[in-house]
Parts: sequence; C-alpha cells; structure tokens
Amino acid sequence: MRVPLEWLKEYVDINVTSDELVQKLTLGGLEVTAIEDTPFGKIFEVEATSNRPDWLSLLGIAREIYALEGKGKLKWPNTSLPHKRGFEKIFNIIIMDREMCPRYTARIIENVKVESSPDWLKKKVESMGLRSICNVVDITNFVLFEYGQPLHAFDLNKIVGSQIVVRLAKNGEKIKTLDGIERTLNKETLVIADVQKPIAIAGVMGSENSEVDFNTTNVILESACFDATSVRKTSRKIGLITDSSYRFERTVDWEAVRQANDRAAYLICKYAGGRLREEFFDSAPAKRSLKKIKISQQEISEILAIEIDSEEIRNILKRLGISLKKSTKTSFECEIPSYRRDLTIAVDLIEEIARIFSYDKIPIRLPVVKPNLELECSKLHKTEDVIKEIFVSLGFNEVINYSLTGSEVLRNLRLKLDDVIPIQNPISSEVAVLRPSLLSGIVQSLSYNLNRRVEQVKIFELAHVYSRETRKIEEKLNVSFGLSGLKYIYDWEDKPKNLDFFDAKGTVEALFKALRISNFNFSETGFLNLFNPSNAAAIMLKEKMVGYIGEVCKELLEDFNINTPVFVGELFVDSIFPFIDFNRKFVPFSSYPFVARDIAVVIGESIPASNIISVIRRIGKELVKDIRLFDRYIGSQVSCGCVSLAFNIKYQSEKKTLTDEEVNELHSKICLALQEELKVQIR
Amino acid sequence: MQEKLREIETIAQQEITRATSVEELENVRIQYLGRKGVLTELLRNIKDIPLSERPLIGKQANVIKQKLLSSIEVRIRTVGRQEKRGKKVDITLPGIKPAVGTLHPITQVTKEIGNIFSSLGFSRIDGPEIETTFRNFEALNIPQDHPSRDSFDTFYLEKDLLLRSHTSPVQIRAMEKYRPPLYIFVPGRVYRPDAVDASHSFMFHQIEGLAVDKGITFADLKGVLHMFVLKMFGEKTKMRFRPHFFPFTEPSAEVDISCIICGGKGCRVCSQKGWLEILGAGMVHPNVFRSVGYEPKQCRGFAFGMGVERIAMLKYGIDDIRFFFENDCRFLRQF
Repeated sequence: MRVPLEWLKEYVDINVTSDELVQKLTLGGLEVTAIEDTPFGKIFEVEATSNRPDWLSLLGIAREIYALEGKGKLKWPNTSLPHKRGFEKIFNIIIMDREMCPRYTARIIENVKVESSPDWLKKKVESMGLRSICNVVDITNFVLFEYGQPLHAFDLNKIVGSQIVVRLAKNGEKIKTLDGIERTLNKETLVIADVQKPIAIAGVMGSENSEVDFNTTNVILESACFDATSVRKTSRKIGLITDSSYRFERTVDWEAVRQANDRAAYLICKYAGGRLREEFFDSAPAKRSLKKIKISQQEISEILAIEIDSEEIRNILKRLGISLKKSTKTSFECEIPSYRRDLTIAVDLIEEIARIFSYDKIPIRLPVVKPNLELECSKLHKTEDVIKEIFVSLGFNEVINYSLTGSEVLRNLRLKLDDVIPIQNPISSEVAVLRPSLLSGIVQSLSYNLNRRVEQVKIFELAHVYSRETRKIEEKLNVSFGLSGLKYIYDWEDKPKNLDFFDAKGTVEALFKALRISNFNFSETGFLNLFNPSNAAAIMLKEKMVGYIGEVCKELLEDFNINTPVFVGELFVDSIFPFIDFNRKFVPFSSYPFVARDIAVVIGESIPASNIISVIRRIGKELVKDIRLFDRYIGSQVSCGCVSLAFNIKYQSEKKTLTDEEVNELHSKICLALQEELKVQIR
Repeated sequence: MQEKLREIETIAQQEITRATSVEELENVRIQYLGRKGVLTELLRNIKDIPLSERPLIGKQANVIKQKLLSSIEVRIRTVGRQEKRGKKVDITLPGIKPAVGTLHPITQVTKEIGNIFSSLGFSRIDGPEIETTFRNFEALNIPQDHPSRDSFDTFYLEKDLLLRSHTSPVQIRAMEKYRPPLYIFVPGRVYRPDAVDASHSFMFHQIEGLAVDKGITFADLKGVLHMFVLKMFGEKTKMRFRPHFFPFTEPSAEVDISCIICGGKGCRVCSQKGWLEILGAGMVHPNVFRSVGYEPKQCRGFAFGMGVERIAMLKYGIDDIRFFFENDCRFLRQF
C-alpha cells in the first residue's frame, strides 16, 4: 500500500527523518519496500502482512507509528453525525443473508453538486495511484484510504423501486461493472440489487448503471461489512481484485463501518454542497463486545527470555490501544480493540510486546539439543549420500531436473502414459505431469549439452519418480545416469574411443561393488522400449528387476536433436536398498603368491562369454582367484563368425605356494574342459 | 715407459669421461684393464725394462690402474643414474586428466547447511513430496479460503493430494510420529505455481528446522540461527530479526544478514538496503501443536526455514535461478 508521508503527518506526529521512519517501521514489522520521491512528496510502499488488515489504512499506519514511538499525538478526524431512526420511511434496505453481510449502513445526501474535485482532494487521490473522477467518488476513495473501510456511493435516482436488497445473485444474472465489463453471475455471488437488477457485486465493484456521474443530484452512501470468505471466493472467481475486495477479504474493522460513513457524508456535504438527511440505516447498531485475552508477566519473560517489569508491559499495551481490565501486578486481562482481529490468543500479545520492546533486545542463547537416536541411525540418508559420492568418484556430474514433465517428452521416449499422474493446475503443458522415470530428464540434459558441443557428457541424478501402482500414488527413489561422447578427453597417448554399453555396465558394476552388493546379473529382456534391444540389459537382483541400462534407440534421438550414440541407465534405489551391506568385515587375503596364466579362447560370436567364465570357475574352484578379460579380437587371425577372448587367470591357494606342476595341471584341466564342453579352440 | 704409461692414462680418462652408458664404461675397463687390456699388456712387457726401474714402473702402473678403476666407478654411478631416469620428457605436454565428477551446487549447499545443523545436534529427516492438503495447510494453521494461503499456493493432484509447497508438512509428520524433545531439520524439494524467471522457479529446494522441548525460548531460536549465520557466511556477518507474519508461528520473524557483497553499505544485490533476507522463523503456533496431538500448554518450540537456491545464489554469485535446472556442464563443472 502507498503511504504519502505528508498526508500521514496529518494524523500523527512524526519527529524523525523519513529514513529513520523507514527503519522504525521495518524493524517493527511493517516492511517498507520502497521510498519514492514524487510530485506529492515522499511516498512509502509498505507491505501489510495478511494478518494486519488494519495497516491498509493511513489511520492504521498512524496508530502503528504511535505505538512504536510511544510518544507524540494521534490526530483523529472527528466527524460524528446524527443517526436518527426512521430511514425505512424514505428508503427500504433489506438484508437477505446476515451471515454474508453482518453489518450494512447507509445514509442519503440530497442535492449534491457533482463536479470535479478540489485540488487538495485530487492530489490526495492521485498520490494513491488513482485517477480523480469527481468529488463524490473521490471522497469515497479518500475515506477508503483514510479508514481502510471501503465505501460506495450510488446515484439514488438510478435505483429502481426505492429499495436496496443485499442478496445472492441468481444464476445467469448479468451486471456491467464500472470497468465497462459485462459479467455473468452465479448463485454464490453476493450482490447489492434494486427491485430490477444487481447494482453492485458486494464488496468488489459497483455497476455502471447506478454510478454517480456529473448529473447526479441525490446520493446514497453505503458502508458495510461483507463476509471475507465470500468476497474472496467471488473476487477469485471473476478474476477481479479491487482496493475494496482486498480489504474485505482480510476483514474490515466493525467499528470503522459507521465512522467511515459519517466521515464521507460530512466531506460530501462540505465539498459537494449536499444536504444531509439525518436518518441513518444500520442493520446491526448494537455495540459488539470486545475480545479479552489474559496474559501473565511470567509467560512473557519465559517465552521471550527477557527481563521486563509490569510497568513496561502496561505501557506497551496502552500504546497499542489495548485497555487493561481486571489486572494485577503480574497478570493482565487485556481488552482488544475492534481493529485488531489478529489478536486472539496469548501468544499474539506476546508477539506485540516483543516487537514493541524490540526483537533486537531479545538475547541470544544456545539450547541444549537432544538428538533423536532413531533418526541419527537412519541408513537411507547414508545410502543416498554414498551413491552420489560413488558417481562423483566415477567422474559423473550430478544434475537436477524438474520433477514435472510433459506428455510429449514421455511419448517421444516411448514411456507409458497410463499410470502417469497429471497436475490439476499446471502452469504449462510442458510441465503438466509428474515424471515416471528419471530418463526423460537425463536424455534432455544429454541433449542440451551435446548440442553445445560438449565432447564428453557423464551425468547422474538421484531423485524421486512418481506413478500410480495398484491405484495408489507412489513416490519412489531412483538413480539414473547418462553417458555420451569420448571415453577420455585428455588422453593424447592412445587412439580416441567413445563411451559405450560397457562403460554403462561398468558403472553399475562399480556402484554395486562399492555398495557391497553381489549376486546380481544382467538379463537380455525386461527393459524399457526406449532402449535399442541389441544393446541393452535389465539388471536383476535375486530374480527381481532393479533397473536397466543400454543405448537409446537412434530413431528416438532425432526428437532430441542428438546424432551421437547415447547410453543411459536407471536403478530403483528402494529395491536395491535391502541388499546393501552396511557392515564392513575384513577378509584376510592369502600370504602365498599367485601364479598367472593366459588363455585365449576362440568361440562363435553368439556364444556368451559368461559360459567360458563359469567353466573356468567350476573347474578351478577356490584356486582361481581372478579371471580378467584383457582382449577381444575379431579379425583375419580368427575364422569368420568367431571371436578370440583372451583371459588372464590368477591361480592362488590360501594354504600354500602352488608349484608350477600343480598350476599347469589345473590349467590343462580347464583347457580340456573348455574344449570338450563348449567346443572351443584354444590359441 | 713412464711416458707411455702417462699417455695411456690420459687417453683412458678421456674415454671414461666421454662414455654415456654403463656398457661403454665396461668396454673401457676391459679395453684397458682387462686380461688383454692395454695396461695389462704393457705390464707383461715389464721384463724388457732394466731391473732398477721395475719397482718404479710397477708402482706407477698400479697407481694408474687404481685411478682408472675409481674414475670408471664414479662415472658408472653418474651414467647409471642418468640411464635409470630415461629420456627427458616434455613436461609442458598436457596431463591426462581423468574425468572429475561433481555434486550439484544445490546438493553441496544443502550438505553444508545440513552439516551446520547436525553439528548443533539436529537430526535430519525426510518426507514425501506428495502430501495431503491437511498436512500442507490446515495442520499448519493455514485455513482454507484464507488470504494467507495465497503465499503458499501449490500444484494439486487428485482428491486431496498436492505437491507440497514447503517442507513444513514433514515437521508435522515428525511430530505425529515422535514425542518431544525433538530437534530436526528437513531438506527437500517444494513446488509453487510461479512463472519461471531469473529469480523464481516452480520447483525449488528448502531446508526447514524444528525444535520442540520444555523451556524453549525465542532467545534459543536467535542463538541457533546466529550460529548458522556465522558458520555459513563468516564470523563478521551480522544478523537481524524483523517481526513478520506466518500462520504457523507466533511470534514470527524474518531474518536478514548483512549483505555479503557490500558488507552492509548498500549495493545492487541488496537493493541498497545493506541487508539480505534469508530466513523465516518463529515460535511454533499452539494450533500447530494441537493438530499433531501435542498439548499446547506444555509445549514450546521454534521453527525456521530457508530457500536453498537463494542461499546458493548469494554464496556463489549466481544471478539466475534457471542455471540450477538447465544442467549445463559448463555450469555444473564449476562447482
């Protein structure tokens, strides 16, 4: 809200510079977000939090300055007019729903001369950012900013049937509001209507056909209280927020309803030459009882950890306009003024005392913290951190992608859309569903970087995916990675090579080794449709699929503007977690030396290498310490359709040094078994 | 004869000095001092020398022999060292760097912040991103159709599920599961339907904290946050608490730090104010305790929260929040 400093000074003494005032207000809780030098003098922009609707008026801000300063004077406008009964004799007002409209006041002013406003009024209205319209309308706006109470002036002669009804609209009823827009209403909207038609959307905006113009002679002035929730709902529904609706939805001050009406009527008579009718309509004239809150000095000093004596507490409460009813030296019964609807319980008062006392004066202390053992021993956080660290040590850069994606991206990757969870109110179609897999983000990140000619991209992401399984929405933790480009960017010693399927496989193997997971294997089926089936594998742990790796189908890469091979993988962390071994136990290694032997095996290309390895292990048993593939050769030295695999086998015993004869014997046995069982050739 | 010996010594020494390999030196030794060596041959012919001169010649020859052996030994050591070192390498050729991985800056900042609170004794807890309306709003004293709901508006899924707009629902879960004393911090992703621009994103990260225990005061809240500010931004950093409003805390505050760019003098980053807002905090509202089944009259607690992207942008001088989610390697590899 805009606060013109010169105007504000009419209501409260300000004896500090504008910069000092900004500091005081900001540190007191009313944040000044900008100071402008304008033709109207200095204007503050203040941010009134939603719990302080009383700050949406200049008088409210004057009260705040008075409370913070503790000295000076408040200069309240003093306009009290007669409130004679008998209004219904001149005009009929019917309130159909007292809950939607708890208080409605009205006054009639006859023979007004509607003209352009006097200079002082024009300036004040313009300083608040509004256009000056005419004296009567400007006065209603002036009083709105003064008291925070929205008012509306109707042209009496345009109201049909000498009657105003405050009622709910009928479905389909139309109204052309002051902004020139024709609106269709529904039965949840509260309207002000005459016998024929709605003449205002209650609390939001009046209609064109009842507005005060330069031909108006008789005015009926409305000052009312409308239900906050109803005004808010209506305002959101029709997409219209006005200075009025903004204040009603935060709840206006009950007491100000009448005061503002008097003030506006007084000003209209003074500056628009009208004759005031003394009859006053008030649907709820009875005085409302004020809220009482009990608070003790002990509570205050305990919660704030300050030393404050009861004299100081009294002073602060008084400055805030709070009267003390039955109070002792240490406990206070506080009567809360009508404009402080935000003060309902003791802690609300404690905040008031703290901020007037000054938050700065509250000491700094460290509590004695007691950790929660169950949380401290949680393994899941450790797992997440460990997985991330492993990927970092393998040379991957962590990425963070949006959890939301678009159906188009999912379709481009042949991911199933049936169990995908949509957002009811998305901000765009590109981020309208929750991602069921991290791969869409990984492929997009790979695309982004490859398109910027990054020669080697190794990325990973550990985050949640969302889908509907068995009718329930589930949130699962996955880790996914992507590889593309050169294997080694900086290696000028060897021939350049590209990252391939085996780098992806190796990543998974390294990850599982670091997590001490064994008993896993790779299967040729079960992976997603985005993979090239000749170059992909599913990862199995105890016969359950826990992820997949492989090359992304070349045809799909077109949609992502990628024209180099791309390898990705995804693992379900929730499924892997139970298999992680968090215990570390030392396993003694043999003190006897190993003997190494090479073996080159020629087999048909379609025979899996694992067949060879299982035979070697089976025959060699515990004496085969390690089997390392060091070459795979296809070429002229080997028959067509065959491949030569060269292994280095390390033989070692836990109990003694193996002799050459023992090793040779075992090695021959293995060679024989390979030849007999697998029909291979040994080179 | 003496002349001859001196000549041989000189030539042999030259050859020793010129030798560049152990092999060459071995050849020199064989050539001069071996069984068929020059010196050896010469000494064989000592019978041709008169008797009186023989002892002198013999002594001279031996001296020369020892000298040459010594020179050869020394030279072998030098040349041997050189041989072991191998051919001289061009050290200005680029090194072969293995790929160095990185954690995302958001992960790094989250870790750093988490470590500070861990060091103060707070335990980390996580919770789901998909939440119920109750835990995201009503349990936190944010009623339906209330203006305060505007600042926390979020994405709705189906029935009464939504994407959480802050990590506070996890604190509700923690209080539903555990009894006080409770000292926790919660990192996590949150969602707000804001249009994406340089300082807003519809998805971002928060870290919130909660302490519920007998005798917790506002001073404790100040103390914990002060310690955080000093550890995170440096001992010279100043902190100030400003009254504010949150539906789930009362008293509430916004916490500023002295601008880390200009030190408080005023600059573009802090909009000339000298202060940067980084945290929201306050004493837990009794209605929140009530909604989790804690007895409000017996409970005291404080809570605080901060945006991780904001802290990261201040700390690393990043001026556009979109960098975090674009995942450009040129950005990621800087951290």
